[in-house]
Amino acid sequence: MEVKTSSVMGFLGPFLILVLAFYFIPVILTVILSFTSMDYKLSWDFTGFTNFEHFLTQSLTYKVLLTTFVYVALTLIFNVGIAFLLALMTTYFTTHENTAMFFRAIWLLPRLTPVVVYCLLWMWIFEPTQYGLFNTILSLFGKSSSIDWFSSYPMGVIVFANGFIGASFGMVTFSSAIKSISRDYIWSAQVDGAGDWQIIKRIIIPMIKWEIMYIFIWQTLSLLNSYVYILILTDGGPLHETEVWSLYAYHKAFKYMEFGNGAALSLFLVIIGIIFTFISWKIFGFRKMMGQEVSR
Amino acid sequence: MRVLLDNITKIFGKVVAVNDLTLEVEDGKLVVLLGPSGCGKSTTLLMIAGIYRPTEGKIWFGDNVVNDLPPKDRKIGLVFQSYALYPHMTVFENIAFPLRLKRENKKEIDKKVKKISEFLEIGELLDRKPIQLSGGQQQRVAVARALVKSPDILLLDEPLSNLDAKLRVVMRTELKKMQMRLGITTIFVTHDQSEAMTVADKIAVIKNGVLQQYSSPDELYDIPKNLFVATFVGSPPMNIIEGSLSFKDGNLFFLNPDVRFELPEDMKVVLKQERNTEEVLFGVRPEDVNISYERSGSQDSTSWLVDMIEMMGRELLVTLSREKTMLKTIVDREHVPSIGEKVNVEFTGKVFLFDKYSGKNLLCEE
Ligand SMILES: Nc1ncnc2c1ncn2[C@@H]1O[C@H](COP(=O)(O)OP(=O)(O)O)[C@@H](O)[C@H]1O
Ligand SMILES: [Mg+2]
Repeated sequence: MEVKTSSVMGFLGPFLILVLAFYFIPVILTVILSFTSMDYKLSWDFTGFTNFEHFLTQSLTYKVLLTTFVYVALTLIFNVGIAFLLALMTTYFTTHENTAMFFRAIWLLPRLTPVVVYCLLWMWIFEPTQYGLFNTILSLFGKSSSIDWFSSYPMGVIVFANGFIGASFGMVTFSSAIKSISRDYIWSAQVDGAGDWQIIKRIIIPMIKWEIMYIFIWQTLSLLNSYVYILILTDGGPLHETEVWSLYAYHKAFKYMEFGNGAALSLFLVIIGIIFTFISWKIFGFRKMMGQEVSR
Repeated sequence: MRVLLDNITKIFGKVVAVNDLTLEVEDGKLVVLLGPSGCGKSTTLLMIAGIYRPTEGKIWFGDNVVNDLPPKDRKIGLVFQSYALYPHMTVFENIAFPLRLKRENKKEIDKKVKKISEFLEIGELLDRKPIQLSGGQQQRVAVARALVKSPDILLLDEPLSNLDAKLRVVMRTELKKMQMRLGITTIFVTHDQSEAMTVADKIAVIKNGVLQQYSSPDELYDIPKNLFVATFVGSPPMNIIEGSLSFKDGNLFFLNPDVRFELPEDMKVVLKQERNTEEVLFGVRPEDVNISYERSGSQDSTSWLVDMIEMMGRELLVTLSREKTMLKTIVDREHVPSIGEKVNVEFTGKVFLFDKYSGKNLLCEE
């Protein structure tokens, strides 16, 4: 059927404008901004690569880079690993659907909670005095002195807080993916001699490979870019221990009003994100997925 | 391996899927579980496979009760209607899967996969992924995967139902030939009575989880134990006519306002005098209903109206009616009646009588 270009644009137009206004233009602005020395005076003074040279020569930048890597890697264990385990527990290992639903619903609760309330909860859990949840639990086991979690294990605090809320997304995606695997496959494998571990490794994981890829990439990108929980819980402290890249950029821009510097840092993050996504596609064989019909 | 189901019951919540089923499958035989969809065939098969545990009763393989044996230790091969070929593995990997899990060495695996794939004529497909195969090829691969570990028992759940009609007829003969060559005890589930009749040594007819009859295909056809079996087996299905019995002048008649039929001598022996005027269902298979066209004078009162003619290839299926009674008959194409024509009817073959309420075949003693 012949379709006129004008009518196509008529349908796509409104959406394209939205994409342009809210996705594309911010990226362009970030790029332009990162080549200026814009500060609280908000003037566009182009300074070439000065911003990039600046952050490349600062040792804090490398510390932040390392912190970001550790934070993303550890939280991914929750967001992908624990999420997968939770999905398995509530599908493959639980035949009673209502029990599974109840359990999944509990894990989803933090998603419905306002961020500040959720963070308050974790502040109580990690409260350094004996009234904090973890310290109370420790004292039950006979430990008398309280631990100051925020100064002793700041990375642990932000990984837990982000991991617990992040895992629910993967859990929901993975459990619906596992549930859509026909029972015939599992039964066939059982008859063929596979135990639980082999069924998980050789049947379930290969069959939900694309969902795993999706969650892995999506979570990595969102962890690289999100800093709200960290901002509220530790604000990057103590002594930059939990200062991740996006928070670093935020601080530069909105704490020190160095918008040019902040934009340069953000641009770097965007580039890392793009490179990471391409590498992941290669590893998971994204091309092949697009070429094949996924059958279950 | 002989399989014995000993008073097996399976209950899911409130649904009784299988109800007190007792069945013996002799070593080396092919037994079909036949029944309409939802009657409990798959559940029975999955209990034999060890996927489901019977709520009650025992399952014997040879001299051992296997209720507590997990599927992998039962030495069975299983083929589903969906084939359940793992889409991420090649045909070779699919067939080799059970052997790999047993940690057999690579050479041995190669040898066995090669042997079974030659036996099933799928040697050229080993490098393909399941999605690149036709339905018939997928079916063979699934059978190869089930047989490669030389199981004692082969379980097939509607293995042919996903194939097109023509291939289905070819494959059922192939499956039967293969089963006879290997001499493997096989339990075959289907809802298709003609498929069951062609492949089975014995057929177990199941309705609502209850075994109706367990006998050879011939016996099932000739001596159905009840109305359900009689109408389920045979295509087109048996004609059933309501009426009553009546003794007159030493002869036994089936009577209804439209039909008056003198029952054969041997039936009279089985059915005692007391059965006089009892309400019964009278059954006659369409192939045993003969029609004739000559009008012999006063015979007009016995004539039937031709209502409908359906083409069935070599033959025609003709529907006749008379007041309240309908009758289907098979007519060969040399004598095509026309719609609206009046014909005479004669029952030439075996006829059946069933109890109107219990559906029991009145000629079966028990
Ligand atoms: N896992 C299950 N949970 C609950 N009910 C089931 C389950 N499996 C089967 N049933 C019920 O048991 C009955 C028999 O099912 P099934 O054995 O699959 O029939 P068939 O294979 O003869 O079509 C059906 O009423 C079905 O709904
Ligand atoms: Mg079934």
